[in-house]
Amino acid sequence: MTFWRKFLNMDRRIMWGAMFLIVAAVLLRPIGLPMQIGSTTEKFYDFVEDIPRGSIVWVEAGFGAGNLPEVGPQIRTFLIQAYRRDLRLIMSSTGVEGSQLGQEMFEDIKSQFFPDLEYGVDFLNVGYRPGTMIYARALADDVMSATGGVDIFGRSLADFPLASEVPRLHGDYVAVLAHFVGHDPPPDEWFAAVGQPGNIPIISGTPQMAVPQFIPFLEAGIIKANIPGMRGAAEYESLVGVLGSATAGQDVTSSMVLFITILVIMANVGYILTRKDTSS
Amino acid sequence: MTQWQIIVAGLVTLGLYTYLWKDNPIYRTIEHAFVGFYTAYAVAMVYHNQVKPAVLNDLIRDGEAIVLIPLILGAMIYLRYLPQLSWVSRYPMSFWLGYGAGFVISYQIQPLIQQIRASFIPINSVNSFLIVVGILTTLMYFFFTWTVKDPVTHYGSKIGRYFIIVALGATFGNTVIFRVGLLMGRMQFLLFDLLRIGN
Repeated sequence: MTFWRKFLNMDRRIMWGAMFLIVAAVLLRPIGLPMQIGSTTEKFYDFVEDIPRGSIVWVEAGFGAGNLPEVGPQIRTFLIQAYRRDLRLIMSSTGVEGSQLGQEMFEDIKSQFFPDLEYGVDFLNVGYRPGTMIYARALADDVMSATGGVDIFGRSLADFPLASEVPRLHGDYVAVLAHFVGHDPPPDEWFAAVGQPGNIPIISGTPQMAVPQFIPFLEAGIIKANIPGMRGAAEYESLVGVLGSATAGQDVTSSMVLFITILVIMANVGYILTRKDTSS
Repeated sequence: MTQWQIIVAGLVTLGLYTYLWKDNPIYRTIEHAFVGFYTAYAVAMVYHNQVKPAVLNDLIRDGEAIVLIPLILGAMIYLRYLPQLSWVSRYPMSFWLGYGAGFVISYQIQPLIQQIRASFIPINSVNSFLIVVGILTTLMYFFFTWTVKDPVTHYGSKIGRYFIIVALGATFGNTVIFRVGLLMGRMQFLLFDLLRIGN
C-alpha cells in the first residue's frame, strides 16, 4: 500500500491524538505569533469608547457554556472597558445559562479590577427569560412588567436605583444594546423589537461559527460593530490592554488552522493521486 | 470553583473525550447525566425566573387575573399526554403559532428591508462588485418558478452555485475554528486548573 493510500485510510484516532498534542504543546509553550488588530474589532472598541460616561448600557448575555471559550473573553473584556468608562450595565439573558455566567463574570471583574462597584447601582442582572423577540418587545414596553419586577436573585427591582432609571428599553434611557450570543438568535430580532423602534444602536459579540450569519447584519447597519469569535476576543483584549484566555488561545487557533489546512491539502492530493492509480 | 468541583469537572471532561477512542459506558453515563442535569437546570431557571414571579408577584400579590390566561394555556399543552384530551393541547399551540406569525410579520419586515437596501451599493470596488454579482446570481439559482432558458439566468444560476459553495465553505471553516476554540477551552481547564501545569 502506498503512502497516500495509508494516509487516506489513517485511523481517525491518530488525528484526534495529534490535535490534542498540538493544542497542549502550544498552550504550554506559546509560539507568540504576531497579531494584527482587525478593523471590525477596532470599530467595536471605538464605539464603546464613544459612549458618554455614566450612560446605561443594556447587555444581552444570551450565550451558554458551549460558547464560553469564545464569548466569555469578549464579554469579560467588555465589562472591563465599560467600567473604565464609568458606564452602568443592566444584564438580561434569553439563554438559560447566560444570566448566571454573566453574574459570575461581573463578580470576577469586581473582585479583580473594580472593588468599588455596587450591585444595583453599577450593575443589575434581571435574569433569564424565554421567548427572545417577544421578551425584547415586552422590555421595550415596560421593564418591570417584562422581568416580573425581580432580578436574578428574586429581589424586587424597585429596590435598585439603576432599575428606576430605565422604565422601558428605549434610546431615551439606554445608550447602547450590547448583544453577546451563541449562534442564535441573530440580532435582527432585538433590532426589530427594540433597536429600530427604540432608536438604540446594537453592538455584538459572537462565536466564530456565527460570524458568517452576522456579517450581513453588520453590512446592513443593523449592528454597528461586532467582535468576531476567539480571534476578535484576542484583538479586543489587546485593545483594552487586558490579556486573557483569548490571547493565550491565539497561537492554538493559528496552529490548528495550519494543521487542518495541511491535512485538507494532503487528503486532496492523496485522493487525486490514488484515483489515477485506481482508474489505470 | 472548589478543588472537588475542579476534579469532578476534569474527570467528566476526560470521560466525555473517551468517545473519541470508541463508544463506551463511561461516555454514555456522563452523556445521560449531562442531559438530566441540564434539563433540571433549565426547568429550575424557568420556574424561578418566569413562573414564580408571574404567580407570586403578578397574580397573588398584585391580583392581575390576566396572568391566568397564559398559565391556563401553558397547562393545556400538557394535556397531550392524556390520549382522550390530547386535542385540547392544539388550542394553545395554534394560539402560539398565530401570535408568533403575526408578531414576526409586524416586526421582522424592517430588518429585511434594511438588508435589501444595503445590497443596493455603488460598484466602485472589487468587494462591492462581488457583493452585487453574488446576490443576483444566488437569487437566480433559487429561481424555480419556471424552466429557465435564457442564457443570462442559466449561466447566472451556475455562477450563483459557486457563490453558495464559497459561502458554505466559509461557514464550515468558521465552524471548525469554533470547535477548536471549544477544545482549547477544555484543554486550558485540564492543564491549568486540573493538572496545574504551566500558566
